[in-house]
Amino acid sequence: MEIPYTVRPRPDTGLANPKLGIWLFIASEVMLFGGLFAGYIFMRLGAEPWMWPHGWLNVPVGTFNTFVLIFSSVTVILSWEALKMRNFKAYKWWLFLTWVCGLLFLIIKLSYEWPNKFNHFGAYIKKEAAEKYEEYLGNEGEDGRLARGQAPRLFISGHPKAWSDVKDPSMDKIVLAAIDDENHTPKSAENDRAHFIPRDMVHLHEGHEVVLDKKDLVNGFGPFYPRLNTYLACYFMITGLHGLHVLGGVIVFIFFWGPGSKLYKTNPEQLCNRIEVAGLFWHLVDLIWIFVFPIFYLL
Amino acid sequence: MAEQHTHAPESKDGHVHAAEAHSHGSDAHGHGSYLHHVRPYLIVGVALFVFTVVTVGLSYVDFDHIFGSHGMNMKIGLAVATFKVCLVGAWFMHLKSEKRSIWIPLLFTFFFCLGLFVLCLLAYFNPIMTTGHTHH
Amino acid sequence: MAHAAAAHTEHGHDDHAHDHHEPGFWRKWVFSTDHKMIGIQYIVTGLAFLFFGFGLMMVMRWSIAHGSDVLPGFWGNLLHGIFGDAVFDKAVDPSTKAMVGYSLSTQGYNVFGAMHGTIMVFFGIVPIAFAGFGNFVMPLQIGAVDMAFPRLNMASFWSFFISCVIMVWSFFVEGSAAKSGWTNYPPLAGIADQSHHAVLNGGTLWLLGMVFNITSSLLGAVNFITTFVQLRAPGMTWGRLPFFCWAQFITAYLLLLAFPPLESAAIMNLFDRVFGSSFFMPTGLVVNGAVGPDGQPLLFSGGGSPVLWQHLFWFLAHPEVYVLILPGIGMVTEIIACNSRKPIWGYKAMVGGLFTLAFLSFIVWAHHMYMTDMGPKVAAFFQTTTILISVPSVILLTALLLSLWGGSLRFNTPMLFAAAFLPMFGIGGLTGIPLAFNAVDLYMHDTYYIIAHFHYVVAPGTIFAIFAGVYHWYPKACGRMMNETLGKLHFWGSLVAINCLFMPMFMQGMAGVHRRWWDGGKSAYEATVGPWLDWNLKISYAAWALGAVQLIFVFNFCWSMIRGKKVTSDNPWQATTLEWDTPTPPPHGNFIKPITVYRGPYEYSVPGEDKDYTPQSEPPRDSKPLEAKAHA
Ligand code: HEM
Ligand SMILES: [Cu+2]
Repeated sequence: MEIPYTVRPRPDTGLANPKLGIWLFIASEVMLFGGLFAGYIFMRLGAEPWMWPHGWLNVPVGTFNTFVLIFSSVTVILSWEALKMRNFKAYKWWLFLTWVCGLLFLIIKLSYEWPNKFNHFGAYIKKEAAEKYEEYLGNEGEDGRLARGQAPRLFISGHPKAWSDVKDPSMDKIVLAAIDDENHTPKSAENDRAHFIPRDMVHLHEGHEVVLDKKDLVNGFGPFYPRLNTYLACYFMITGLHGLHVLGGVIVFIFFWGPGSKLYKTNPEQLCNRIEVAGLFWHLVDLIWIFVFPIFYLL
Repeated sequence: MAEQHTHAPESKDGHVHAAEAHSHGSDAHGHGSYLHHVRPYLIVGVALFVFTVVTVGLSYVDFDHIFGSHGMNMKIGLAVATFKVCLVGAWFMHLKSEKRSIWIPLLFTFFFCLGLFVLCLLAYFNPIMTTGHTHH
Repeated sequence: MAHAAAAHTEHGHDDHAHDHHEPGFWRKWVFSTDHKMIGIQYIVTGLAFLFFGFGLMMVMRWSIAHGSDVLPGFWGNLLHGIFGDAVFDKAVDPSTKAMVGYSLSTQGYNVFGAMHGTIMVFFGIVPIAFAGFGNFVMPLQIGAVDMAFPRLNMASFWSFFISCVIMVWSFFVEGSAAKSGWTNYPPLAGIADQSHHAVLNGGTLWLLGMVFNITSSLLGAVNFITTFVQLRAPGMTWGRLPFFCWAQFITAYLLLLAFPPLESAAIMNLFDRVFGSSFFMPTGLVVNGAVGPDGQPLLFSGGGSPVLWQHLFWFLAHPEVYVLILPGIGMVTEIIACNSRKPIWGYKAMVGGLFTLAFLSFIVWAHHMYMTDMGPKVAAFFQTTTILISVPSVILLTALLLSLWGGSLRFNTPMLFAAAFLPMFGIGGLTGIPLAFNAVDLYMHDTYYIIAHFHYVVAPGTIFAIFAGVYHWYPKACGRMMNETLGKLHFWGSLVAINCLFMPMFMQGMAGVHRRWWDGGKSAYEATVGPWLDWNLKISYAAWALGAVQLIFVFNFCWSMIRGKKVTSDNPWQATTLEWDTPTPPPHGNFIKPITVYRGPYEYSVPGEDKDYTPQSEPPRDSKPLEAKAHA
């Protein structure tokens, strides 16, 4: 028994099965990420302005990763075109580049971007306690944020002296050994807008022992985990799911680059179709990233 | 209904001659050199790079201030992203020459996706305004 | 080709040679890629869950009728033995301190209620009506050798199976399974599990199970649509497709596009529950002085909103109700056409109705959310679309009713169930129309009226259609007929019991009796709805009677497999569609001769023909078959 139209298109519909299948799958993926983006929109509209952070992510790194993905989208097409021309060697090279790029993207994400959040501490200050920490928030006075028409800052971040204080419920104070630029010079208008390279990630100011009373903090304080605020929750969820898609794509490409490429000897046409289908999926991954990048890194 | 296999993969040397061996691929443009084939993709790729730079650049211009209206940066940023996505869809994913049976379902998908956004937002912005007591 | 249909439908199953090699036991029965075996796996698993879910409901009906009275000894011990202390309270005689038995606890009622709904919808009806019958019948009806992606098909079944295991397992974790309704609304759902294990608790496993279930449906939907579009036999043009196939096709589209937003909602909810984010937690939420893992009130959630969950949930769940009903309508259509020996009335209108229905079903979802602070503009939009969607529903129903007109009806068991489907679905659908209006719904919402409304559509509606389908296609799958006398007994018993069960609920609901009262309202609402609570016990008797009647079906189903009357023809119902053109049971690869389709799906009683049915594969008598266009 053989299933018809697995390789050649059916004459009346003009489609081969895998192509229709992948497009249907892409449609459902669009709805899946549509749901996630709907969540993002809800969170962003619902959050009070001071709760939604700007400039927490490293824009050059994000831009580089965007380039990597776009580049790999081009290489996968080149590899497919090479295969259509029956140029196996070129096919292999372009596909190799494709999965290496995918892997590079993941490595940057997992070795730098995510861990960088996990070892950073942040806490929102309760409104009624803001006075106490004014020195680090810079809201009041003629040169304060409020006077400049900015949303109040109610957030202090940096590195704690001992992480155990943060986690231990019996400790009622957290001591920060270093604080971020924004809290170091809180009134500087420099900090009103997001920077190309986020200063709070790069410039840690040591030698300031800031004591935070847990009673003054909004629950959820701690490392930059999803629970700290909904921005991070959206960020980890959407980039995480996107990362899983990248991983899936990389695995598929490694397969067609390695053992799967044997198919070329027996049925190059079918291999060609498979690369086209995998490529379509890969473009979807790229396409989602094109939205993810600005909404989390830039806007 | 066995599939008929294509020619064994012979030509190692040139992209140019190989084009003839490929007489019944799944797409229509079966002639010309490799470079000729892939040129549109390269152009689109470069355009995507350029527009990425543009997106980043634009995000540091304070459009909210310039236009005196809220959320302008968001709108402009998303417009550029949408444009890039259209490029990817039309060229990389071949939607511009794809069968109707592919893009009609996709059209519905986008419509429903948009419906999901718009209607949720409507519900968000149109709550029951006042109940019994109104004091400020 | 001179061979008329009769010639090749007469031979039994042993005289056709098949050249495929027999797969081993595991490949054949367990890890099969054959669409028929997968269909049967879905149907059997689904039926098991249907009865499990029904069982949960019968226990709940005890609680509704008798409050915290102990269950009859045997049942109390048995159920406590299975479900444990989280669900069943031990009752002790206050004077003697002797143990008197077990009763369903209030929390247990919530667990059973939530799991009843979940199991019936996602683990019973969809797997049977869509995945099961769709898999078994649809490829046969379009003349395909198998599904387009057989291995993907197997993967979707096993993904479904994993979700089943997770759901069943969730009964045995700390605090038992999910306990906040089949809709699992946060923040209630989160609070309900607050004192339990952080990850292995009912609500979290529910979400995890749903993620697998949804994945299974999505893979299935991709496969169904591709098969439908690509694998139609030569000559099977769009206009010649049996209506059942159209219904499956549209259902697959609904699943494909509506399920993913719920999957994203489930992922967000998992984040909330496992990582402590607050997608669905509103600012200022305080429950019993505390919420969240820290035990502090939630001061600032950063935009979280329970309404978002409701939007995403109902974005799926309204299309889902059509996923529940459309395969049923499809099956009923086939069975009515066959047993009235008459073409379906208004085939084109019905297919058009399907498309309209599918489109509209994506933009009506918020009619489940009128109570969520929804302003007049949005409410007006959703009221309008909801009213619009009843038009195609009525078209479908009317066309089926008119199809009966003037037919020579054969009242065998499948036909009885199919015919009863029509008024039952009618009652269910018509009682939905008042609910479309905001003003009425604010009063009706969450009352027993709602329960009656949708149960009329799914229980005597879809489930009757499923029974009809089982009786109708059983001979094709097993080579034996199910017993007619037992079937009729099953039908009449079910029909009477199910109406006694659901009809009074309309009255109760209009009087103001709410759903989800663990004791039926006795302890708190006697003063307002008092007289109507007397109905609770009567309704419960009807429910248990309905359960008893189903035993006839179970017996008949198993017994007929060994003892049922053997079919003497491959086409015992003398039907026209292609599935009856296969040997019985169909081998791997389905057809033993090349199939070409020459005519529409319902050529019954065509004037001038020698018999009252003309199979789709029968060539026209006056023209040579070769002239039939291969891919018209
Ligand atoms: C024919 C037109 C129909 C209309 C106008 C309609 C309208 C409605 C409305 C407005 C509600 C919300 C009531 C409330 O919660 O306050 C509702 C509930 C429901 N309907 Fe329908 N309906 C229709 C057909 C169907 C069909 C065909 C099904 C298929 C199974 C169905 C299944 C349900 C279910 C399951 C619920 C309750 C969900 C829950 O709250 O648990 N309805 N219907
Ligand atoms: Cu609905």
